[in-house]
Amino acid sequence: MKNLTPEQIKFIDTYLKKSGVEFLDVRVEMVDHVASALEEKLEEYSACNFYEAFKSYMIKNKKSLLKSANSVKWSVDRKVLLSIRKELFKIPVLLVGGGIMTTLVNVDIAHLEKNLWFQISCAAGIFTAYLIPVVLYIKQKISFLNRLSMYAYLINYLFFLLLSNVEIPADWLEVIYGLLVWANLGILLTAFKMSAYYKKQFARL
Amino acid sequence: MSNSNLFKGSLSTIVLKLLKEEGRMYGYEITQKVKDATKGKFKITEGALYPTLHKLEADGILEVEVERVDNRLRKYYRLTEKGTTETAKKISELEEYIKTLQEVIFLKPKMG
Repeated sequence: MKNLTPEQIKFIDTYLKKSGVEFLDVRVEMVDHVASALEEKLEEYSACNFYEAFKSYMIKNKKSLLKSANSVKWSVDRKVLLSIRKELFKIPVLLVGGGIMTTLVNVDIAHLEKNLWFQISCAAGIFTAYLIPVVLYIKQKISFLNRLSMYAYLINYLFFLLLSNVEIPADWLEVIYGLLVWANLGILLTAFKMSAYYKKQFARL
Repeated sequence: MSNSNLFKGSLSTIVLKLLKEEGRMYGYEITQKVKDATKGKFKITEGALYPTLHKLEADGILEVEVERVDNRLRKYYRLTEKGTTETAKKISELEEYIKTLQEVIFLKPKMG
């Protein structure tokens, strides 16, 4: 089997990136698929060169490739939500979340300045979302981490809306803050765990 | 195949069955295996295969290993423990469905 050169692989990668396949984890798979198909074609038709084979492949399959790349969002969202749920119900997370909630009840937070908690809520969301790419250490976009950041923002924003627009009784305020901390704990642990997972996977790149 | 909708419904079962037999496979390998096994009657497109693989991975039925092969990275899929159980269930469901379908399609008219 005639293997493609690193320059030819780079050419396919750049082409797919420019065509809108922005996530590294998705693109890696597409590049391998296209490269495997081209290698087979070049083996079969020795007179054919790489660029002719590439052009002919893309004319026939580009639509299907991009459809596949775009549809990944739905399964990634499902994976993100299932991962967060898995972390939330782990015993250490429940214990830490419960401990923080108990502490909040004991310090009687209802007497604290409400705006302070808005700021904490926003800061938690921004911190969580920005932390993820920092933890990853690589400059590439990973679909899971990108969607996780989006959910980190969304969850914190919903808490922010609730706290700023609804008059919540003092007894319930501690519960809401406890839930906010618990949710962010789950997001943070998912971010750390999955960042390490993707870093290990793509360190070979 | 002329009616691809018939094939689409069984795609995840076909993928799971192949992974059960082969241990681990990558995307292009799956498309070629199906094409060869059916003498070209079934062709899986990228647009159908990868969403199926990603969904099965999100559901915890498949797990992924990434390896460097021939100047590029390759994602290999294999069944998880949950996936092995799910595969047996799906194959059994498909067999039952085919059996029932045969009974309906080849229904013999009652005499008299």
